[in-house]
Amino acid sequence: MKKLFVILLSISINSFAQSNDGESVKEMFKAGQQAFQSGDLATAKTKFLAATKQDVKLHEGFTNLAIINYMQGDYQNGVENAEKALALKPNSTDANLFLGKSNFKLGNYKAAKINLEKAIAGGLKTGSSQSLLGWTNYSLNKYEEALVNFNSAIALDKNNNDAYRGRAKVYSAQGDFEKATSDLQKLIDINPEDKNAYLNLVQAYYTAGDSVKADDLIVKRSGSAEAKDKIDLLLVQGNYYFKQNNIEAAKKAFNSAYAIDKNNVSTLVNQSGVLIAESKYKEAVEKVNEAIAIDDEVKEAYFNRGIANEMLRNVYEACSDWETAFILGSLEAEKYLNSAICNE
Amino acid sequence: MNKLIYFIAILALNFQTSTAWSQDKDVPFDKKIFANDKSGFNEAVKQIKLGDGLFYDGQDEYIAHANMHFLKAQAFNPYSSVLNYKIGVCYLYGSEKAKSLKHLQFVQKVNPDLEKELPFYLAQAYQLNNEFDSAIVYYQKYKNIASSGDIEQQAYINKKIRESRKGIELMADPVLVWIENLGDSINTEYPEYAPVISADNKVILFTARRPDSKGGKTDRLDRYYEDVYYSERESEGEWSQAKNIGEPINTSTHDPTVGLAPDGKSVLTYQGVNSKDGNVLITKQNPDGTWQTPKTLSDKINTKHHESSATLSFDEKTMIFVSDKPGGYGQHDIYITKWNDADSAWGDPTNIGGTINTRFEEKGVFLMANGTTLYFSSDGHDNIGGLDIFRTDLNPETNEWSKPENVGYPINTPDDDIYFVVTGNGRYGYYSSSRFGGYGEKDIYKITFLGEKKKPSMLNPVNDYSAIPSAGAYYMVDLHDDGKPKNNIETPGKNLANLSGTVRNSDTKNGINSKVTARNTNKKEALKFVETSNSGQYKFDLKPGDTYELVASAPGYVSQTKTVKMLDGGITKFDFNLVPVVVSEIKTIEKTEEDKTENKNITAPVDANNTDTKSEKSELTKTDPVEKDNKVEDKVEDKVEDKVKTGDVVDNVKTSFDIKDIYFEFDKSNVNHIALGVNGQKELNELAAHLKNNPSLKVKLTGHTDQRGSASYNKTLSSKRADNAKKYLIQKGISASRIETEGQGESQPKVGLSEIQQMSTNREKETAYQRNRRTEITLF
Repeated sequence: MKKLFVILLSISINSFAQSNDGESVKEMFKAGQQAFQSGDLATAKTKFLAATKQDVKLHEGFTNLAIINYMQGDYQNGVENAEKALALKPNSTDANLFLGKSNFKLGNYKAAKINLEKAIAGGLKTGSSQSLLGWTNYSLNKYEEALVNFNSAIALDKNNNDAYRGRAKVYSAQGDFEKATSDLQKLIDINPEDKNAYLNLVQAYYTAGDSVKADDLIVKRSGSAEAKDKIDLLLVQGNYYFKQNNIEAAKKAFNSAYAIDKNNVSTLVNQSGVLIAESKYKEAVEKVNEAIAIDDEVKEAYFNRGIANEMLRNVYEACSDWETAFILGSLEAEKYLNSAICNE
Repeated sequence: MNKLIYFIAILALNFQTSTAWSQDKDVPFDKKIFANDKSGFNEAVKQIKLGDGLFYDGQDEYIAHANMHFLKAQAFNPYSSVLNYKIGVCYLYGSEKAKSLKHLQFVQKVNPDLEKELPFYLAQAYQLNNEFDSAIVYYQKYKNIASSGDIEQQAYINKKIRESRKGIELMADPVLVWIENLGDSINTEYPEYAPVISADNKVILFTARRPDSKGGKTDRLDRYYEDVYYSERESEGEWSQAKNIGEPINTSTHDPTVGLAPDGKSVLTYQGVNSKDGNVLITKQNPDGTWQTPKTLSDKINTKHHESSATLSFDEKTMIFVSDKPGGYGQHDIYITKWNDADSAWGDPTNIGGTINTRFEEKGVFLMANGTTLYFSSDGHDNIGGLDIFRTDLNPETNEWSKPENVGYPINTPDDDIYFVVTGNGRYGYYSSSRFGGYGEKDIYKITFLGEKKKPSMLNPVNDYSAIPSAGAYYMVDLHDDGKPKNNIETPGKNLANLSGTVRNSDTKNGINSKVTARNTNKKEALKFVETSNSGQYKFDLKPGDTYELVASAPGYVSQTKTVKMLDGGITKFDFNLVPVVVSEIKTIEKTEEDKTENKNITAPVDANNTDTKSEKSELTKTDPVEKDNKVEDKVEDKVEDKVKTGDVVDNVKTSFDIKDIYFEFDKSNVNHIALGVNGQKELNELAAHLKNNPSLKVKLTGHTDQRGSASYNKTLSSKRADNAKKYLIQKGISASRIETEGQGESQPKVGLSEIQQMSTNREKETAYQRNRRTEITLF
């Protein structure tokens, strides 16, 4: 018994042990908190790392590290630190929350769902956590559960744009474009500058086959939108008509975008797509060259130039373009690279 | 087919007279009209009589000769409807069928009632010129005036109408191909046809009628006997000048090609016994390149009937051939036979079945190297005219052939299309054609299959339909935390002011994926944080009257800090324009304990000029306008501070390079996507970019191999891996003086051999070996 007491005492002393420079764990922890509060995440992280090194059972330190990791985009370490915190304090709501958030960011949706549900069961009642759980369920194709989460999030915060956006996404996936467009309109009501909402709304109209409403919204929005936003809307419009094989309408949209900004790479690449559809391969190559001169890391540009070059019977150049596109991440280009075209 | 047509061609021509003399009028051969040129007239009439003699003989092969005479008469008088009619019909039976149209059109214009059969021939001429709509009109017209009691004739006209409709369908959706004449190394002014190709596209054999034909004999039409010719090529090279393959394949009689084994080492030829009996012969190439004497195939294949075409599978254990022996579906049919190893003989052939064989012709078989795709020619399926090429695929499980599919226009034409072969990879095909622009007679053409029309990639604007977490309000948990939620709870506050904006690239003005924090400088409040999507848009709900320090950061950009005092109500807008990082100098590379345990990468501290700015606030204070309700609000307290922060979010600054090993495929050292995989090449590209941005930096490339193979071989291989990576970097513009290389062979594996040997699965072992096959990068 006496021996056990000595061990416990030792743990207790160790948990607030002095560091080499004489700073106690408690002092380091407080310094970490203060650094965080001042926005100095790097110092905060250093302090919490030092504190947890001194006291390996400092679950609060691991939780805070998980939060900082998450904020710094270091989700893998966020998971590891949150798990360490949970191993020491299994019911920690914050550790579960940030484990869920980090797992979501890493695409570990099943794990994220479990963590977030635990955090919410632990008493967390925030719109953002419900919304994130909604997005998690959406990512797992659990649309009905996602709708419940988004509805809860909206009940907690009537201006929760994430929830409206997520709910619109679910409705779109379910083919209920009326409800989807209603939610997207709500996003615009919340923030009239929400350019994504305009984009999404235009896309939802196009997906629903209501090109008249989509075109009208583009005209209406174009009056007040910044040049970049106008171009984005015109790209959506052009791509819609391109998919519909209405090449003339697509060309008109991309040409309008080009008139706004002649150096927009997306516009140039899409114009090359139209030229390919029109069998104007030489002009397509020239258009892609313009795009590559501005940004030489756009895989779509190389991919399209590959198509145009092949049709111009420049097969070697075509394969070289597809190789570049492949290196930049184009899986479609890989298909052609591995085909007989490039491997006689 | 020709028999069916020819019954119409026996015509009782009525010479009609006309006094008109115009190209829009019929000008008959009337001596009164040509009284001024009696000798010319007499010569023309003589030619017509000579032509008529051949024309009315009724044999297809004389029709072309008849036309020679008619054309001489035509030179004297081009405007005779009767002569133009005969010329049109002759062209339809010759090798230049498309030329018939203008003559028959002339007849239709000046003397449409000349012959009852004119609409039929005109329809054919239109069909052969791909003018299917007009063809249908004239077939229909002829059908209406033809004898309704002649069922066979009615059925034939209906077939021609179906062909024309199919032609319209296929021409509307042409197959993407290039068709190229193989050039003067293969083609000459003489006929070249029936090409056969090895699977690797390196050996081509074909039939030609040339003066160097073995024996030099000619037939009744002065055409040289058929011989086999061959040409070879290297990878991606041109075909060599074709040569007569010589004895023993070529003899003094006809020796046309029929087939070539996929490996190019066995040749099938045809030998006619008489007009109704022909057989397929086989010969194999000796190791010294000479050919064995052709032997007739088994009696089970060659009969007293006409076996005209055959094709071998890759393993030469399946033969598909053509025969018109009795018992089939009609005319020539396709049969299949298997090699019996026990008997060392071909088994009993079976008819390939009614899915493929019809009551019409099936000819010209070619089995692809895959053993399951068969091409053949037929005029009994969905044709567009004459013999068309069809494709059928064998389902190995059910052993059933698929419904034949027309290979499409422009490979198939309304004329006869036959003897079509495809290379093993399916990219190229070869066939013969009399198309315009050749070297004369039939030529051999190469078809390049382009596949489905490739769809260009279209770029969409950044679509932020993805999860965008709201601005979180983050506290650090306190000591003695009980696990209950106390922090990070965002209760939507009442009377909060909305602050939103966009984080942009200062150069491109495009939104960027970034992180923004908002810290209340007046009182203790949770640190607010938002991670934007690619749009760069952010939004905070902040307390009016309080001052907030906003920090925007993004990987590859200099962080930016702004301080803003919020006003009551309304929406304020505030944009960040982050400057991309351009690192001028890398001072040191060091691995901290934290890096080792957390990041597993090496972070290069930023330039010395910037490293001390963390604690310093810039003296520069500027007055950025803050928009309220989208209008510039002068009353907003506009103390805005920009400062360069480098130490606090070092991971966000593009001064680091994640050093990863470059992995190679087994026994490969070349630097390309096949050997390295996409990631390997990407790593090298990133390394090259990093070295370009940091001119004082040098790199050491250390090659390693796995433990398979001899130590000396692996030492060489590892050096090659390092050297090739060096060459690649040099190609990317990095000076050789900045690159050191070393080959360590198998001496420094990441996973030891004993450890690998204890692994239970080959997959685990391969993964371990892969980890050892690498080039390590060390920056210094």
